[in-house]
Amino acid sequence: MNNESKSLHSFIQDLKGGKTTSVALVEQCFEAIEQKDGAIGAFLRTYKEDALEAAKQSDARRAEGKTLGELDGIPVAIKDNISYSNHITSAASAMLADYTAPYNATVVAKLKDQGAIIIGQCNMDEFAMGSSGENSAIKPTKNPHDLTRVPGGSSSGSVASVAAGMVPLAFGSDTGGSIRLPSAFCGVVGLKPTYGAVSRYGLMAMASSLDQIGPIGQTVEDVVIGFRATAGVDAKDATSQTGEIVPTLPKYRIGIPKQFVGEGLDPQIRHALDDAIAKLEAEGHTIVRDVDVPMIDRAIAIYYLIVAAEVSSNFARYDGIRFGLHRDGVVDSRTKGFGPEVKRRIMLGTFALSAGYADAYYKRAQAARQELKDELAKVFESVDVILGPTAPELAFKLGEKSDDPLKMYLTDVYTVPVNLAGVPALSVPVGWGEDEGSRLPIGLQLIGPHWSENRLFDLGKQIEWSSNE
Amino acid sequence: MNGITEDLVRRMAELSRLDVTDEEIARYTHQLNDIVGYASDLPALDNATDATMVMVGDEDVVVATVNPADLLRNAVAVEDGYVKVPAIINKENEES
Repeated sequence: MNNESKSLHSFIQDLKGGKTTSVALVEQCFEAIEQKDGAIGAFLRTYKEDALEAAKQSDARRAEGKTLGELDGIPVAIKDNISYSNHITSAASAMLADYTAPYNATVVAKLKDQGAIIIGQCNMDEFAMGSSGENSAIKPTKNPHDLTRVPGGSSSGSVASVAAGMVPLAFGSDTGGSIRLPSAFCGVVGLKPTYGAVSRYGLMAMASSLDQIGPIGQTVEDVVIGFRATAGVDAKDATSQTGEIVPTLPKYRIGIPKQFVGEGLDPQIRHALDDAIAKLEAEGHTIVRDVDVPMIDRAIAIYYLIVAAEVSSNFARYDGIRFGLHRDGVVDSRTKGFGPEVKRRIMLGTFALSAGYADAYYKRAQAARQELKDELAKVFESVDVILGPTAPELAFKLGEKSDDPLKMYLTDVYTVPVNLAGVPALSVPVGWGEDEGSRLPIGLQLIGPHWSENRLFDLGKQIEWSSNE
Repeated sequence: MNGITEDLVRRMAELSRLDVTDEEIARYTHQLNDIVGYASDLPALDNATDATMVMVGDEDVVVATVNPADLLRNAVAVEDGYVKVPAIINKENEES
């Protein structure tokens, strides 16, 4: 959509310059939601009255010169697996349909402390398990560019809400591509931060060693604002940390792994990648082709074994007693509360961890994960950043892959290596492709070593919408 | 087939505390075989790669966080500030 007028940055400038008010921004968001979201289905719950009240207070603070921060008065949306105190937070699951979050996720607390206004909670694949948004127990979200297609998942609603101009900034979670894949499918920018950069406190755990909350915006600049507002060490998340920030450079060595441009990549996306490479070369960056990261080809296998194992462990907490759907006993509550993909992963993980199979599957996957990490670390000794496609294809049709889980998993082929290694990656829209008469966005992915977000932002701005049409 | 039989899936469902119908068993068996088959060519464990998981714990610090009353609001049954759970003793072989 590349609509500068709708960017978070422009909203912030307009608020600062007195050209608009928070109340006007909130009204504008709800006007768009009322007009478009019936067809798109990005939101599960919205809070118009509360948002308008908060906007009035923000405008009053601004009038007195007492704004709380850059995001004061800015409407924001959050994925429904990010705890929002005293509000239903359901992860789009029947299991948590009536669950009221008893506390705020650290990300939500930070946003509110800076004056941001949570206007609603976004649809998603149930418990963040899915690549299309179709696994929501409530309704599928549609791609704003073509309502017969998926927006990508699992942060389907967060991404669609930004892509359709219903909110300038949204937050999702990314365990294997759940921010980046939909961002590519919907033509917006999405960041998977370095593991530990943003607190996971209050994020409903799917696979704890891989989950990470990140921002989604219209532009790279907007995502920078969202990231800075939410990053930082949090005593409530033992895995949150800070590292030495990797500095930006005037010119970069950019590696293109051969595993990212092999069989299965849509030629239109390949073309857009070539355009971006040409642009970067023209800017004086060095392109290193045929970088070899052999374990990328194994990443999906490694990923789904580890995810399933962590899911089977994490989801033991849903017993229908302390919280969640309560039916006739634990088994009945779980059976009625979870959808098919959740059950599939719990059973796969139980298998991968069970006596007699754990060595063959879980331990082998852990060892292979370490090999992949080592390979990537070695690559980052000779290149500064990796560039590749975010997805192998354009947004596909609703229902196209829903009966074939393995086919659905393979959509994440380029995104999962990033989570396994814990490094940051940024999906940036570069141009447009075409499929059966639909004009659909193409996203590319920049990957850097741990704590190199600034490099990704720097290069992301250079390739944003760079492809010749 | 990658050794995932319907009986094995039934056992996994039981361990996972899930009820599955015969029709679901057939479907999951097929799908899990697909997925596990895809994962079966992972490199063998050669002990050359150190994938040891290390648990790094922080020092315990007591701080006020969530109000217990707020936590209990989501529970099915509460008594004297505790969650009431089904009896699991003296109810052998029964679903708890």
